[in-house]
Amino acid sequence: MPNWVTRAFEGVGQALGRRGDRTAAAEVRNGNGFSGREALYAAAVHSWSLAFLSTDRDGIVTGWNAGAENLFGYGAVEALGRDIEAVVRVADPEAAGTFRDRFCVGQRVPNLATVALGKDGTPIHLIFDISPLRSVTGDHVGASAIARDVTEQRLAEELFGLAVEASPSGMMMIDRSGRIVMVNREIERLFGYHRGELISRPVEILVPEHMRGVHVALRAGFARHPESRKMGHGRELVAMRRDGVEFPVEIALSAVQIRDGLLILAAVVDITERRQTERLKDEFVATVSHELRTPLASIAASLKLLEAGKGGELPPLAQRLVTIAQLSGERLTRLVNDILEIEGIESGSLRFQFGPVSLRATAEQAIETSRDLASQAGLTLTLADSGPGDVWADADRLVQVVTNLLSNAIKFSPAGEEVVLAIDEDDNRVRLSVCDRGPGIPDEFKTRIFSKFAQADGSNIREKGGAGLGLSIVRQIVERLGGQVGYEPAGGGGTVFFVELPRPTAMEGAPASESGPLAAVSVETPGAITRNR
Amino acid sequence: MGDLRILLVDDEPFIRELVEISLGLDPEIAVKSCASGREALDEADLWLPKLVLLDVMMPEMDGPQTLSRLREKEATARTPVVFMTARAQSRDIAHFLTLGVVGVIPKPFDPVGLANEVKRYATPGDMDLRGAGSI
Repeated sequence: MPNWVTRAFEGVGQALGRRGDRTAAAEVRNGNGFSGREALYAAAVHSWSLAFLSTDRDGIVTGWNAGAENLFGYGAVEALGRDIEAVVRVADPEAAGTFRDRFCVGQRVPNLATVALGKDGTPIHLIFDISPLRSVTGDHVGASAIARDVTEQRLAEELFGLAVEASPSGMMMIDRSGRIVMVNREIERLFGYHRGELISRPVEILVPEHMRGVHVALRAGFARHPESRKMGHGRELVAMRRDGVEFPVEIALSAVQIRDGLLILAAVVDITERRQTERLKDEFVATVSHELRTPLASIAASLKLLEAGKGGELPPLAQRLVTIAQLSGERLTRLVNDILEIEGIESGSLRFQFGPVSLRATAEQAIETSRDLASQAGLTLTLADSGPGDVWADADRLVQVVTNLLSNAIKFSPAGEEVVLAIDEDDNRVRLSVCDRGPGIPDEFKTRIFSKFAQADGSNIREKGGAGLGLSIVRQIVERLGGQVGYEPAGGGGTVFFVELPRPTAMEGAPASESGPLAAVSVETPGAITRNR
Repeated sequence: MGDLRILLVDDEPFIRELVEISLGLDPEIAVKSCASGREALDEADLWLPKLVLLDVMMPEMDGPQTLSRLREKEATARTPVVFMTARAQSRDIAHFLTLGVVGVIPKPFDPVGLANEVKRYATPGDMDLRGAGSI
C-alpha cells in the first residue's frame, strides 16, 4: 500500500479512534480534522469499491469505507467503534479469535483467506491483506486491511476440484522434479495410497522398481518437449500398487504452465481389463485358427487327391463338382488366413523384418503368384517398364500387399482386359500402382474402402468371392511399413490403387529390422502358406 | 512299402488317414500313424523312424512336449522332427523353429506334394539335389 494511503487512513483511524464518534465517517467525508491533502486521500479511500477497514490495537473498528459497506452489508455508522468480530463475522467460530488477533498483533499478514458471513448471513470468501498502523512517533496503534471478495473464484475452483475428484480417470499433477503435487480419489483407489502418503513424494513410487530408470528418462523427455500425448500409447506401461502388485496402465500427459513453472498433469487409466480381453481374443483366434483349419485341411487334401485322380478317374460332372468344392475350400482357407493376418497386424504380434527391397522384383513375384487367378478370369497382368524401385520394407509383407491389390483388380476387371502395374519413383518415395478396368468406386463407398469387411453395396462381390479384407490388410501393412495407400480414377475407366513407400536412403539411421524372428522364418511362413492356398 | 520310415503323430483320424494316403503315393515311403504323443514315444523306440511328422495341438501331451520327450530318448535324440500344424501364423512358426524342429508344414497341406516335402526334410544332405524343381 502506498505510504500516502497508509498515512491518510491512519489519520482517519486516529481521528475516529480518538473521538470514538460514530458519525465521524460523515465528518471524514468532509475532511474535518485533517489537512486538505490528507482529507482528500481519506475521501478517496472511503469511496473506493475495494473494501478498506482499520481497527485500533484492541480490534475495535476505526475505519470502514464504502467498499466495506457493500461487501459486508454494514454501514460505516454501524461498523465504526464495534469489535471487528461483530462486523467481519468469521464463519468458522474456532477461527474467529485467531482472525481478530491478526489485527491486534502489529504484524503484516498478506493473503489471509477466510470465509465471513455478510450482514444477511451470506457466506463470503475473502482474502485479507492486513498491515499494522503506526503513529507518527512509530507506536503501534492498530491495523488496516484490504479485503477482496473471491467467492465466485472459489466456487469455480471448488466445482473444478469436484470434477477432478470425481473423474473416472486417475488424475495427478507432478512438478518438474517429478514430485507429486495433486492426486484425485481415483488415484488413491488405483494405487491403494491415501493422498497424504503421495503428496511431495517422487512419482516413481508408483512405478515398479525395475522400470524406474526408464520412467525417469521418459519423464525428462516429456518435460523437454511437453506436447500433450499418451505416454502408454503403443507401449505397455506398468504401474505398481502400494501392496507391490503391478498392473498395466495407459497414461495421457498434458503440460500445465503455472506461475512457478511447469506442472505435468497425468491422466491414468487402468487397462488390466482391456489387456485381459485382448488375451482372450488372442486365445480365441488361436483356437479358431486350429479348429477351422483342421477340418479344412482334410477337405482340401481329400479334394486335391480326388482331383489328381488318386481315387480313380472321375466322370466330367464329378470332376466339375470336385473343382467347385475345391475352389470354395480355398476361398474359406483364404478368409481364415486373412482374418488371422489382420488380427496379427492389429494386435502388433506380427513382426516385420525391414530391409532394402526391390519393388519391381516384388511386383514380378506377385504377378507370378496371381497369374492363375488372372487367367481364370480371362485377364492379363502386365508390369510397365520401370526401374528397380528400391524401398525400405518387409519383403514378404510387400508381396502380400501387391498380391492383394492384384486380387482386387482381377475381381473387378471384366474378362479380356489388362491389369497394369507401374512403378514410379522420386528422391524420397517409390509408388507402385495397379490399374484395373473395373466399374470405379461408388461415392458412398469411398470412405469405407480400406475398412475391414468393407464391400460396396449392390456389388456382385458374392460371386467375386471376397470378404472385404484384402484392401484393409493392404492399408494396415503399408502403414506399418511407413508408407501410404490411396486410389484415383483411371483415365479411360477403372481405378488406380497405389502404395507409396520410403526409399532406403530416406530411412538412413533406421534400425535394420524389428527385433523379431529368425531370418529362416520368412522363407517358411508366408511362402509356405501361399503355396498351399 | 519303401524303407524311408515316417512316423506320423496326429489326434485327428481324418488327417492321419489323408497323410497316410498322400505319403503312400511315394513308393519309397513307409508310414506309421499314432493318435497321441504317448503312443508315438513307444512306437518310435521300436520302429526307429527316419523322420517324425508331429501335430502341435493335441490333448494330454502336445507336440512340443512330445518333441522334448523324443529328445530325451537315446533312440530318437537326433531323429529329425517336422511340426505339421494348423497354428501356422508366422509368430507361431518362429517359435516352433526355436524348439528344434527341422521344419513346419502348415495345414491345410498339399497332399500331392507332401511326400517330396517330407523327403527333403528326412534327407537333409540331399536337400539341394532333391529339392530343386520340386514344389
